[in-house]
Parts: sequence; structure tokens; C-alpha cells
Amino acid sequence: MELLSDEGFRFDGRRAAEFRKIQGRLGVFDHADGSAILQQGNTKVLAAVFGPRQPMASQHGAVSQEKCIVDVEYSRAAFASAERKRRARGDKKAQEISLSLKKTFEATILTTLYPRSAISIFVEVLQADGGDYAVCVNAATLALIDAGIPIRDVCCAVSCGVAIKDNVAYSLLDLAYSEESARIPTIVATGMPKTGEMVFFEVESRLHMDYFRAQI
Amino acid sequence: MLSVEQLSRQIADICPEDHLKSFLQRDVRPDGRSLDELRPLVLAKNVAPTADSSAMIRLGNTKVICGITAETIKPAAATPKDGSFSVNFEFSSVCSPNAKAGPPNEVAQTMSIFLDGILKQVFQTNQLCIEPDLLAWTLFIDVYCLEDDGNVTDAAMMSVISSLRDLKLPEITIDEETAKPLVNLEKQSPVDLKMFPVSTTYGEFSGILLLDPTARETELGSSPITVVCSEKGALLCFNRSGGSPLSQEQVAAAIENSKRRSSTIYDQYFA
Repeated sequence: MELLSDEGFRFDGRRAAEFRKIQGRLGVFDHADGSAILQQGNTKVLAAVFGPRQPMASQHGAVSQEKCIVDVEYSRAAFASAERKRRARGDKKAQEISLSLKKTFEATILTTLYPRSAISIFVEVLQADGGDYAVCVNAATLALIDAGIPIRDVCCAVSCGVAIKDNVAYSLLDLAYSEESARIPTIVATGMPKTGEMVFFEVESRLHMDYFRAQI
Repeated sequence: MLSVEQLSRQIADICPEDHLKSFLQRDVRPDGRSLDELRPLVLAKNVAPTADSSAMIRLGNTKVICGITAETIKPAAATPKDGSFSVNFEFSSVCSPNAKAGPPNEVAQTMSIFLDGILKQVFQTNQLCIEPDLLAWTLFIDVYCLEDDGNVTDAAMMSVISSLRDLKLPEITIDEETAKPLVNLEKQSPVDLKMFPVSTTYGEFSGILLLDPTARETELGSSPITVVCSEKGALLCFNRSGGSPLSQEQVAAAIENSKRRSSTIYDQYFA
């Protein structure tokens, strides 16, 4: 599949640096303190935030006097991807993603304002069409905003692939599933727009250092 | 200065039973409904395009989503002319702050068994057979509760039936020479349901039956009653797991009401 045509169009008609259509809504759940549903292209993610509240008994060991515990759980509906995948809720992939999300939000939330409390963030992927991690971060940020929890800055994430055409590297922003499966080098980055800081960065493939610097 | 609604909610938190009783004495419920009135019901189809068919039901604040994925398998040796289906119900982690990672809890497992039991009565697996002893369809029915404000049962049942009704399976023929399956995506046909089960759940509080209970009404009462009837009035399931005793008239009235509701829902959403 050609990632970038000669005229500069991707398979779905987007330009290299163009995002998919973004649709979102806050406050979709009544019982959660904050919630949001975010759709980027065909990737749809629900996020719910509970807290700050009393930590559960299982979290007693982690209770801190200086800041609140941030607990994130990521899960994915069995019918989310084109091929049905039924994963038990505590499986490795989910745990890895939960952990990265947790670290991201521990850095974003002003945890020192709520000592001895816990904030729980739950993320559910209903439809996965590429860039799931990035959309999860964005949805969770929206849910935090809806909950009114103080955060350092709005946390935004994007997935970016590098397509090399005629020796020039093009960044393809907001990858769709078919582009992700094309095995191009991918970077997922989470940053804070106002301060310009990067919170999370992941590269999983070989990428020449020159191209890498250009992507940042 | 608190609004009447905020004040009411605070009283509901402090002394919930008295709060509910004071409303029921006037034959009305805290959310303004009468004792046998449903919350607003919204059915949205094809909400998860990655699944072969899907539906989401909103019953008041309760939200349940169902997705069906069809795959092909070799039929079991004991039943060569049958396909299969499996129902998996889970409370999504966004549903409750106390959700834990791991296998579904007992409430979820009970719901899976309940939905499976009803489906076995209305759906015959021999229609899923493509070629006896060689190839058959298997349906994975995944149901997720996204928000639980009581009566997940009725919402789940309806989401499953709606998804099943919209499901279309492509025609598959086995090539005689190569023995390989040929999928014809142009020709898709729906599955056949013998009956359309509609579930009606009543909460029970101090001997009074409340149709379509909210989470709070369920919590305060003893266990709810679920009656499942087909659109023609056939009784498919009557479920009451313990709880305070009911009179025979109440049971009969509940069943009659369910039958009427089943045909109304059928005419409104599935006819």
C-alpha cells in the first residue's frame, strides 16, 4: 500500500501532516466525576475519571502523605479491532499501556493538591483504527478537564509515522490502522502545548537519527 | 442556597429508605415516574462498525453496548450440523470505580448465563451450519455495560436481540474441486430468530414492585424480578433470586404486564 502518493495524499485522502476528523463530548456519564468520549477518525475511546476520593483497601500500601495516587486502567472491547480479540482484563499489553498512561498522568495532574487520596482513570477503547494510545491520552485529558481536576497543562498525544519517499522523510501524523500495519517507524509522543514539555515518548522500530531529529 | 433537586439528592444520600418511602406513598418515584413507567429508552444501531453488527441501548442513565463478531470454525464432532454462539457480558471498567482487572465478577457471569439461556430458546444453531462436519459459523456476542444505573438486564437483553436482528452473514459455498470456502460478500442474509424476547425487570421495595428500577431503587429493595416474554406472549423466563415474599397476584400481574410490554417493544423497535 502506498503511504504517500506522488501528489502528497495518503490512502484516505489526507495530507501528510493532517489529522483525522476529531469529534468529542464531555460529561457523557452521570456517575463518573468526569467523562469524555473522543473519536479521531474511526478510533473511538471512552474515558471516565473518579476522584479525588478515598483510596481503596487494595491501594493502602501506596497511599502517600504528600500526593494522591493516580490509578489508570486501560481496556479494549473484544470487537474493537477488525479481528475479534478477547483479552482478559489484566493481560500484559493492557497492563503496559495502563502503566504508561499512569506515568503520563502522574506527571500531568497536580498530585500534591490531594494527599492521601486517589484519582482513578478508566479508559475503554470501543473502536480501534490506529493511534489508540494517543486517542486514549487525549480522551483521558478531556475527562480530567470535565472532572475539574487541576492539571499542569493539557496533555496531548499524537502518533507519527515516518514515510521515506525519494530520500525525503515525511511525517505522517495521526496514523490509521492500515498505516500502522505498514511497519513504518512510528513515534508516539505526548506533550504539553503551553510549556512545550514532552511527557511520554515511544519509538518502536529502527529510525535513522537524522530523521528522528526532524520528527521532534 | 440549594435547589430543591440538590436538597432532595442530599436527603436521598442521608436517609435513602425514608426518601424512597415518602415518594412511594404518593404512588410516584423520586425521578417523577409512576410505579410502572419506563425510563426513556434509546436504541442506537451499528455503533461499533468493527463488529459485524452492534447496538447500544440507553435506558435512562444505564448504557449497554453489544457487538457481534462472526467467525468460521469446524463444527464440533458431536454436532456436525450446528454452529455455535457464546455470550460474554462484562461490566466495563468505566462503569464502576471499584472495577478490578481480571475475570468478570459473579454478577457479570450470571448475566452471561442468563442471556445465553434466553438465546438458546430463540435461536437455533443449525442455521449457522455452512457445510456439515466441515464449516460453520460461530458468533461471539460481547456485551459491555458502560454505565449502570439499574436494570442492566433489560438493556443487555435488548442490545443483544437488536444486534442479532441486524446481523447479516455472507453466503459461503465450498468449492467442490479445491474444498476451499468461497465467500460471497454480495449476498448477505440475516439470521432467523424464532421469537423476540423482551426482558422486563421490576425492583422490589417493601412489597411494592417498581418497573425498571434505578440503581438506588435496586440497592434499597430486596432482589429484583425479571420476566422475559416473546412478542406473542410466550413466557420464556421468570427469575427471582430470593428476596422478600410476593403474593401470587403480584406475580401474575408482573407476568401480564411483561407480555404487554414485550409486544409493545416489538412493535416499536423490531417490527
